[in-house]
Amino acid sequence: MQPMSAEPTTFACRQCGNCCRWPGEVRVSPEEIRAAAGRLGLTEEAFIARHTQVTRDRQGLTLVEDAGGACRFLTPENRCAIQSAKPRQCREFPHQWRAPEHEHLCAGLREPHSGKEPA
Amino acid sequence: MEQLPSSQHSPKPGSATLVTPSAAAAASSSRLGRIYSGIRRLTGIAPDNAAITSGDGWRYGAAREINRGGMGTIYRVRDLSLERDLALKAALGAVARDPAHAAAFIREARITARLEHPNIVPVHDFGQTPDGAWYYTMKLVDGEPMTRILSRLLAGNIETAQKFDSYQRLLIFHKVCSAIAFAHAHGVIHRDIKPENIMVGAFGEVLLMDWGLAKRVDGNAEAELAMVEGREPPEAPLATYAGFIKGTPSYMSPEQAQGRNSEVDRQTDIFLLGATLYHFMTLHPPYSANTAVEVVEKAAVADLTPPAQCNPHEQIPDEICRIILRAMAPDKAARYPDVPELIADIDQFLAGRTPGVRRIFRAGELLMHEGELGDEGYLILSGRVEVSRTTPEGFLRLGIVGPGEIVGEMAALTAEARSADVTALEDTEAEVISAAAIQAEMRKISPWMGKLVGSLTVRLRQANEKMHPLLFSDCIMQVARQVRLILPSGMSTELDVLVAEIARSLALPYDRVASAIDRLVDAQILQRQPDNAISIRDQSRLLMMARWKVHPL
Repeated sequence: MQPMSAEPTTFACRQCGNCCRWPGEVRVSPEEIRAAAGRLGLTEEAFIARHTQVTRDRQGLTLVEDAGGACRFLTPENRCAIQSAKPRQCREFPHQWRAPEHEHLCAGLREPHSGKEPA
Repeated sequence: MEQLPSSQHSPKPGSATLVTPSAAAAASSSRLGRIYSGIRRLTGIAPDNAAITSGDGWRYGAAREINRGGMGTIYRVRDLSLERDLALKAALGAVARDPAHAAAFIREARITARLEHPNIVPVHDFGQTPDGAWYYTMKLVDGEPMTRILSRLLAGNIETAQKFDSYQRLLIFHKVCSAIAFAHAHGVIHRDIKPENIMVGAFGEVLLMDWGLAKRVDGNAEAELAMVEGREPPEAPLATYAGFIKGTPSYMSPEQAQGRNSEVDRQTDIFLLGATLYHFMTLHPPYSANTAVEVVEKAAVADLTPPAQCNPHEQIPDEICRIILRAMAPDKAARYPDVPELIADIDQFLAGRTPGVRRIFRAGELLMHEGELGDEGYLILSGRVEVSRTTPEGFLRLGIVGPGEIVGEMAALTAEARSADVTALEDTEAEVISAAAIQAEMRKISPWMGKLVGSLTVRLRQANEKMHPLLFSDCIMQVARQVRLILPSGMSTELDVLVAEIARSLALPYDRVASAIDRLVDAQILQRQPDNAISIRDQSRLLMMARWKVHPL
């Protein structure tokens, strides 16, 4: 595996929203469902019905994507609509997990951080 | 050198023999030989039984009659120079005496020889026997005519059914079509395509035989045969005589049966191909009746039992029935315009790309409903659909699928009830894949592959049932198993600690685990102390649940 250009310690998010547009499962635990439902003012059942589907391995739930694979909670301003309650999988990228192909899509991983946080 | 008839007795079919040059030399001075020579001088042709004789430069020996038809007799002979067996067709007797027949025989030989194609019998040699009879030699096919195979299939012969299933029969038919397409491209029509004229070799070779009725028609490819043109006797007067019926009644096109010979053309061959496919698939010729006249009367008006009704037991796919009926349309203009188009439909069918029925579903419309019996699946062409289930706990989305994906195939494969609802999320176009089409495809693949698909289907269906307990109503069994793993017998632990640990292990909400523990307490499997400590009360029942999955409640 090629080393990443940017180490997680030097990573700073450019808020491009690309990571929210990749197709793929975002697994959500019951606690995360409860939190996100609370954030949106929904019951857990309503959140499950509206925003989740069964994972491919049939062992859990994942967030429903838009037709192009983008997250439904990504706002037009590239913000997360459930920021305070966003699932752990989203929170932990790219510090806890990432794959080499993400480098091409994530500017923060491609270019080492200058040391200054973006505005 | 004096020539000698092959047999001194009146020959019966199958009794003709060929005398080798040495044997002929020994007998050359016989009285009978001189008599036959006299007959030949008087008539200019060989007598009936002066079949295949020896003579100067004659290279064929040891003849055995294989078949006798209107145009000539076919022998199995030995090519003495190349030391191989060949089929030799000779115009003998009445055929040889009639100039029109002789001309037709020569035309047959030349047409067949010109059509060099893997599925047209190759002609090796052409000329006159030392007796002056016209002959030509061709490849000796070590096989049997398709009629015999079809008869065995009709009789239910299991070995034949395995070797010549409908897929194999379509492959054979495809090769026959290929031979006819080639002939048409060279300006030749066959006019007598039928299973009897299709030889199937022991190694899968397919040869279209008997071009005795073949005729050249006008066309761009006419020049291809220019080499033969001019030297070949014209077809007149026999074949062009209006009202003279040529062909085999059981397969005849209306234009042939009505004697409208000037209308016999490439479209006639397409009809005959359809009639051949009819017999291939239904195991019956298209027309049958008590007398030949009745058969011709039926053929004249294309009085046909639709293939699917002719033999429902064979379960002929709808697409094949459609192909047969289009090829056999009474109106020539309604038939396939050419053989390549017919071949294209067969190809599409063999490749499983049968143009299917398409259906549009409006947004919100239900494609299928959970619990219904499924007899078709859908290939999504455009739009998106949602697969979902409604459980006691509420609505559960199993997935959203879009173009290129298939829904409902499991129920169609297993003929079981639908396991989910499928709803169009937006206007969706889908191709209907019928259970019959799936079954037809399954019959094409090898038996073990069919088993493999069946086994995968069952496993997938089972896997679909094994969803996370969160998604379904009852998780008590999973909780019981966790209790047994976590809580040692005779020990107790705090309710909160136990519930939290099980909830973490199973990724279940705390409340649901707590409620399951409550039920186990109510069932007196677990015991709850006044200080909220939990211990096992009925070890054996807990074990039954955990190990044997016996539901306690």
